[in-house]
This record gives sequence, structure tokens and C-alpha cells, in this order.
Amino acid sequence: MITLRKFHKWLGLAIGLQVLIWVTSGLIISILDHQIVAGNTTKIALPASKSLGDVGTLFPIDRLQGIPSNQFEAITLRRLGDLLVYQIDVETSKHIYNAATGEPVTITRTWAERNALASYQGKGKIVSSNRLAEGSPEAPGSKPVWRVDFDDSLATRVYVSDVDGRVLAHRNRYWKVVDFLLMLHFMDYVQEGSFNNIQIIVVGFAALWLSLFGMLLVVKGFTRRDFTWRGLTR
Amino acid sequence: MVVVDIDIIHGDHLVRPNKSALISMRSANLTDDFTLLAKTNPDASAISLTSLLGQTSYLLESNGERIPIDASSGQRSSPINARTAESLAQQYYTGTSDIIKSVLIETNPPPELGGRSLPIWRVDFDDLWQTTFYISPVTGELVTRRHALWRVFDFAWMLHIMDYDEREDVNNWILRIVSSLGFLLVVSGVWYLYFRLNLRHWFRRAS
Repeated sequence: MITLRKFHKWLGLAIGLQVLIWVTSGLIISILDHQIVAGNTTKIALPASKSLGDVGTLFPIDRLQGIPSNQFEAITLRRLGDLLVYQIDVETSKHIYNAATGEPVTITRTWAERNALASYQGKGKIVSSNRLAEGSPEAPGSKPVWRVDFDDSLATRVYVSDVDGRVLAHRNRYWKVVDFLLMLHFMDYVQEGSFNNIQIIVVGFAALWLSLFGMLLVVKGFTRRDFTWRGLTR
Repeated sequence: MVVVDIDIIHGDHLVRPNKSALISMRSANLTDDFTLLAKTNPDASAISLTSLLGQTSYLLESNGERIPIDASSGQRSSPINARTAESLAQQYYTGTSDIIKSVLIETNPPPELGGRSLPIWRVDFDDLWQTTFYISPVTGELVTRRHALWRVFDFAWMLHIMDYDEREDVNNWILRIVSSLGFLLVVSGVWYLYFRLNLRHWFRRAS
């Protein structure tokens, strides 16, 4: 019992710092309004997409240039803003063409800014926009990606797809804080975006043992005298 | 929550990697089909040509609804029945267990569906993990899958964030109060340790 108690004490010291980090990061995350963190207060729930309307004469699909494969997963005719487009999904990529002229559509700065603005509600104005060739950790999985910055009090930045101009995410300074806190909370120091790492499993088991053995010590540590007035004021 | 890999929680191992059938760019005269469908359905917001249930099909999106049309006949494909739903589920499933039952859910979606649109086929397997596949009656695609470990994780998540109703509100007052108390507990422990180890004395000696 003495050795286990000693072990408990030292383990408590070793794990204590992470417990402090867990409790502190968890507390801050629960206090910060999740709707603001997730960008839901600046993002407009997008209205139903525009109907096709009059499509006029469509460019022949088999004459589109530059598609890496003759085999596709899907061809979609839809509106992108006011423009009627074909979206060709092949196994590894997506391609957008003007459905009237057959020219490939590239997302320009103007277009990225217009879509970002259309998805935005708030007092801010656009202060800058950049095409990030290497993508951004704030919008993983899309590269390159457009980042459009607003000058509101949240420092909102809107990420826009470079492929089809779709708004991917609204991020802000609170998101950044929570992202950092989650890294600490998950012990995900290499930022692989996962909480299934070995350090958290080990520390998690240690913390579990601490709390179970701690409960045992609490039960053993209290005596009947502790629950009397004399015991309380001792 | 951290021990079991999140991909297993998501049930990735239960699903055969789905290679959707590819369609040749030269098959039939696609542009005429698109033009005709767009002219007859000007309200549609998108028209897609894709492979559904092994058939080349058009998928119209109109007012939030998806309408599948068989590309060879031009007729609207009927929603899939229980037998098709079950045979699709078997095709997607990596296991060998039998199906216990399949039900078309049209109202009162179970919470584990997380607000996905109805109707939807629920197909239950007779395996150790109580696997459930949810299949779209319109497109036949596997919308999502659930199994015992996912359900345990979801329950643990409820305990973790202390939202005992919806299991999604991390800003609830129970959590805020309890984590504040937890914070005070840990900080008071650190404070206690400071005096207990007489660290003030040590720091003074060191400086």
C-alpha cells in the first residue's frame, strides 16, 4: 500500500501538468461560443442554388479540351454564379468548363472575392485576397486555395476553392485559439489532426489509474472523525 | 475515446472501397441529352450524368429533391425496394454476416442519423458489432454506417461534453460550471504543492 501510494504521488506529479492543460483548454473551449468559433455568425446559410433556366446552345461535351481521361465519374451541368458550367469529375480531379463556349473556367481573384463576399454577413470589408499555392492548414485538403481577409473584429478570413469557387470555410481569431487549444487537448504536437496518438493513450491510462486509485485513497483516507465538527475544525 | 482509432469508429473497415463505375465520354450523344433535360426541367439547379446502381443515369436536382432518370429509357427510376437495398448493403459490406432486417425510415429518424434526409433504408447486420448501413432509396448509395463502437464513442462524447440531450452543445452551463470547478481543483492542487514543497524558500535561496 505504501509503495502504491508513493507511485500514485509521483505519477500525479508527472501527469498533473497535462491534467491542468486538459482542464484549462476544455474550460476555455466551453466558454468560447462555438457558433462564433465555427464562423457560423459571419456565414450566410447559402440559398438554394440557382436554377438552370434557359441554357441556350450547349457546347458539345465530347469536344471539351484538356480532360486527363476519357472515363469520368460524373458530368454535371449547373450554374456557377451566373455562368452556366460543366463540371467533369474524373477519378482524381474536377474540371470546370464554360458550358456555352467550352473554355476552361479558372477562379480569378474577382471571382473568389465575390463568392467570399456573397457568403459573408457582418460589418467587415475585404482587405486582401491571396491564392495560396500550398493550401492552408486552416482549410485542409484544398490546394491551391483562395484566402479572402475581412477587416472585422473577428479577423474573419474566408477560404474559397480554386477549382470551382465554392466557399470552403469561414475562419477567425477565435477559431485559431480553439485550434491551438485542441492541439494541446489532443496532445497532437505534430499536428496530424488526430487524437489517436501514443502519448495521449499513455497519459490517458495514467490519468485513469490516478483517478481510480485516488478514489480508493479518498475512501480510505476519511475517518468517521472527519465528519464531526471537531474533525472539520481540527 | 483515444484508444480506438477514429477510422474504426467511423466504420471504414466495414465498407468495401467503392470504385464507382466510370462512363466513357464518347458514349451516346451526351450534349443532346443535357439540352433536352435542361429544356424540360428549367427549374432544376443541376443535371448530372453518373452511374447509379450500375446503370448510366441522369440525376436532376430540383428544389432540394434528387430525381434519378435512367439514361437509356429516359424514364424516372423508381425508388429501390427492400430486396435491392439488402443486396446493395451486402455488396458494400466487408463482413460475411447475414442481414437481420431492413426498414424504410420515413419519419422519426434515429438520432444516430444526425439529421440526414429521409426516407432512408436502414439495414441491420447480424454481426458482433451490430452494424447498421443506411442506404439512400433514390441513388442506392451508402449514406452512412453505424456500429457498436461508434455508439459507445457517441455515448462517451455525451459524457465528455455533458450535453445529455443533443450531444452537440459544447457551450452548455453544466460543462462550463463543472470545468470551472475542475480548473479550481487543479489550480488549488498546484498552489498546495507550492507551499507543501516550500518552493518559496527554494526560489529565494536560488536567487
